[in-house]
Amino acid sequence: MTEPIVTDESAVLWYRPSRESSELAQDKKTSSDAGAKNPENDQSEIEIRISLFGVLSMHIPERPLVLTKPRSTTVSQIITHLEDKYLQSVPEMAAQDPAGLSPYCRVFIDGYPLEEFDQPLDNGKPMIELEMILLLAYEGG
Amino acid sequence: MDDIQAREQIEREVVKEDDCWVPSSCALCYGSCSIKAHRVDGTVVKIEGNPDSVVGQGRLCGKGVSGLMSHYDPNRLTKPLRRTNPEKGIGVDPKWKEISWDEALDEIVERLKELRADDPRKLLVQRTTTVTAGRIPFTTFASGFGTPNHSTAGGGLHCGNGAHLISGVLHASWSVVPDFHHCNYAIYFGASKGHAAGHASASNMGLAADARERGMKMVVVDPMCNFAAAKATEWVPIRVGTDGALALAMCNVLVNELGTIDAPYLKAKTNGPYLIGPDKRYMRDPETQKPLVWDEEAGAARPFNVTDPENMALEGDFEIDGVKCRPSFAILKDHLKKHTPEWAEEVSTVPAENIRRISKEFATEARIGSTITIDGVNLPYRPVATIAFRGSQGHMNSVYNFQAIDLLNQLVGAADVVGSCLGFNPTCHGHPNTDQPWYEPNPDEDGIMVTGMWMGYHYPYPVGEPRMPTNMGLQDLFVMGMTSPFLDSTDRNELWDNFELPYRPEILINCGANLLMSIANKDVVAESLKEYKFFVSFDLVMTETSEFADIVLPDCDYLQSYDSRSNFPFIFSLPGGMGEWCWPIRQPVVEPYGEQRRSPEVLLEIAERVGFTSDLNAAYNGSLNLKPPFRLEPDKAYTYQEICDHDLKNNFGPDMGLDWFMENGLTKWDKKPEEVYWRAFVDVRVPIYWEWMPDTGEKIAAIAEPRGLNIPMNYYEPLPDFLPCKSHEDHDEGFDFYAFYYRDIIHTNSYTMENAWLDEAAQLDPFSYTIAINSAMGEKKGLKSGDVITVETPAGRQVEGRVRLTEAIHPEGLGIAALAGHWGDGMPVAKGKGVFFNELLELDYEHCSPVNLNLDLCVRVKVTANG
Repeated sequence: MTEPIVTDESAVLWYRPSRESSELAQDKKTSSDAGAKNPENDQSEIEIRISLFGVLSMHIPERPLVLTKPRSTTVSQIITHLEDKYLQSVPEMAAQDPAGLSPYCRVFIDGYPLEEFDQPLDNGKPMIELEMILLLAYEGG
Repeated sequence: MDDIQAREQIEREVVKEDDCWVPSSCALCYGSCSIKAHRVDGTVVKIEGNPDSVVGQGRLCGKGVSGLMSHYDPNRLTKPLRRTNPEKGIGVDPKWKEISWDEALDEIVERLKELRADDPRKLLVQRTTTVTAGRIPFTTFASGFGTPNHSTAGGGLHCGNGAHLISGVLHASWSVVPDFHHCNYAIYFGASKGHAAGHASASNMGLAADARERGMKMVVVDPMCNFAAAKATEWVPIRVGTDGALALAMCNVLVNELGTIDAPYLKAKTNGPYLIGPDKRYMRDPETQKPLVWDEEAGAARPFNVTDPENMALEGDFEIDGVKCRPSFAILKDHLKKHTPEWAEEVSTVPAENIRRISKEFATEARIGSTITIDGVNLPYRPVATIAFRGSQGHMNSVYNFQAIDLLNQLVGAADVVGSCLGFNPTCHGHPNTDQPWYEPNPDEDGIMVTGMWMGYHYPYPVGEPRMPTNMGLQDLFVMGMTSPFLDSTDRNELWDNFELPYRPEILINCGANLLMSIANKDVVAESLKEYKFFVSFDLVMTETSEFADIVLPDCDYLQSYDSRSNFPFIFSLPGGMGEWCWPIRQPVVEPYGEQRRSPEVLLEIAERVGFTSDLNAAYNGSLNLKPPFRLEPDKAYTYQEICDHDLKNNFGPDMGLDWFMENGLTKWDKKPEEVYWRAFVDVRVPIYWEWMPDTGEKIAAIAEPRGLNIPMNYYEPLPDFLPCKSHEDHDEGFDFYAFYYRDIIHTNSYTMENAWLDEAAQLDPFSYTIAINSAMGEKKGLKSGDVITVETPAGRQVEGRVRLTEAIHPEGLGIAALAGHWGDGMPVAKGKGVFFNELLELDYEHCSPVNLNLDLCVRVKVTANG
């Protein structure tokens, strides 16, 4: 056996992020419980102008495709709607959950790239622009 | 007037007293070191490293210095060419006819319009990893066109599928290096980083040399004692393809003989405490579905995310609702017991006592428990690293080999902390002007790390859901694969038929790849190339592959091109460790000559004429993460220079566009310890137990096996094992060598063979153009250096060359350098030089990893003297 480690000064550094995350999660929960506006309760609607590019445009050439949805609608729900109605033959859409889809399914909301697909689309305006393209190329080397 | 005269005339007309040094980026290999090119009266007369840049730090290798010989190669293409002979084949004269750009583009646009209307997936975009600024333009072109079929030929297939996948899973990075500033003990497995090849090539050369001078011990495990091993403290000769066995035995010594592990690291930073049930899957909390751990303080199972890591059990037998379970680390510990040093000696030929000694040195030098202060920040200190690259992962056992090697780092907490194995630059908190680019790893729902930035669009983890394949490479079935062999393999049509691929490839657009040489034996790739109905190749010289094209377009080289991200995405060749962030660009030092055009501009014109500019612009917005006001508008036609300008301003602000960078060459800013040594700051865990593997394997098998493809489930276990290569199972009499190739630091892929200076250097080098065999073995066969020999595989494939006897190779090894043996007339300097190793390789499902599709790059051979 090698010499036992008598003092482990690094342990606290390893544990720190997990402990902070747990505290943060608790803080967030408290803040949420305090009664911030819950978009899921917002029943008003928003016009969503959807432009699809690349292989997706082969299936929905209409650009933009206009949908009217509750403001609480998320990009994940829009993707599910498009899959169900138009994109069933695009396997890259259907086979992945949003966490796996987001690296290559690039979504822009009013021109800004979106990383989190489960947030409500609501931008506080009557209309929102949504653009979507699949970046499919595999890479190596 | 011929092209050379025309070029000379243009150069004479350049305003006299033109004498300047232009900052740009090299492209003689993918290292993309920063350069300064000296231009005098319109002619490049010298290329040096750029001392202002972090990328190379003013150093440049022999390849980079020789770049002007490639640029001024009289065999450069200068006019578009149209094939007039419909017959295609090796040695068949294409009967080229010079045509205008308009004629060439008219035909290309017409073909692509028809194809896109029919099915855009019938287009394959093929690129190389070197030569030109072709990465972003070609991948975005593919995405905008609507095809998933894109490849990087042998450069991708041979080196990357294992190394990049697993570096991504375990270090959130494309590859790994020792933290040269602080590492005291580095073990290289089939890697040469810091020795004039690979990522961050020239930067790492300096860093590695400084580290050795400081006293860093370097142990190199390799069948051949060449570039890295020659400078090492110790060379460990190993039987080809058995690195995984050695690494597993070392892990066993650490865990079960020495008992040296970093338990707090394993508890907080890996899934070592996650409880595993009898089905090999995580035990999950019924309410939250989070993986469970055993909380020793509470004496109960709890979700990992609400349990203090200090209280998580790494060992023990537990029962939850009647189901027996154990922490994954405990399962790993038992799993390792069969991998004794004595067993590993049988497999790898490395003596058991050496395995124990090296393991103990590694364990001792790891200094588990220690910390160090860097720039005022207290950090874990683990000054050891094991790293691997192409040599150890280029086998059937690609995934397990790399996984086992990196497990050594994970067991002692030597991952992305001071002195340890570093993924290079997976966390960046941005430029001071803009806080861009900003990325860092983040956890998935199970707490397992997802990389924050990646070279490609498909992240290494979480792996996708296997499904019936709709791309040519079948990567949507083999979801852990990247570059695929099935675009050209012997069994490609059978696979496509069996998997009901809903189309067949019809058009190939190639940029600079010489895939006829770079993938495997030439005959199988030639058959594949002949099947395309239309083949367009952008190239610098007439390669063996471009001889199969219908239209060849004269491209610009790196001294004539723009690239706003010469180090894609911007860290590809930025050295790891503390120092500075650096974003250099590539810019023209001289203008195109003859009728050469820059391929990115040509692709933009093609997209506009085919009618998918808005799709291409969207792809650029997605690829470059462009935001208002620098995003590309859908219907506006941009030049590539304008796109580069948008990219730079998007990241650095409106005052730092292309003009600013052309003047200054690069921008740089200080790295922070929290970025470089991110592991201690980010709440993510990495998998030492790959829980998803059985599921993934079963799902692939459910699709593949009814269609006649066997999926060996022993490759899909959660814990690494040693599984032999085909070459280990060939025992025919007389086949007593394992042939392999190695990167010759004088050359890059097949491209630089045509460079006159590098060719001269290679002719002086005793190994570049010869076949290396161990002296004792050679003498036993009556061979002496210089004899011409034939090397033959059990399948009857042969190459011929001069033998070089040396002590510096394992007795069973047969080493061939680089990618030589050109036969085409378009590269007369390269023609007939060296040995074409890839001719020995089979290309089919049976010769690639059934997990990540990496080709098995070793082959059993016999040697006979000619004459």
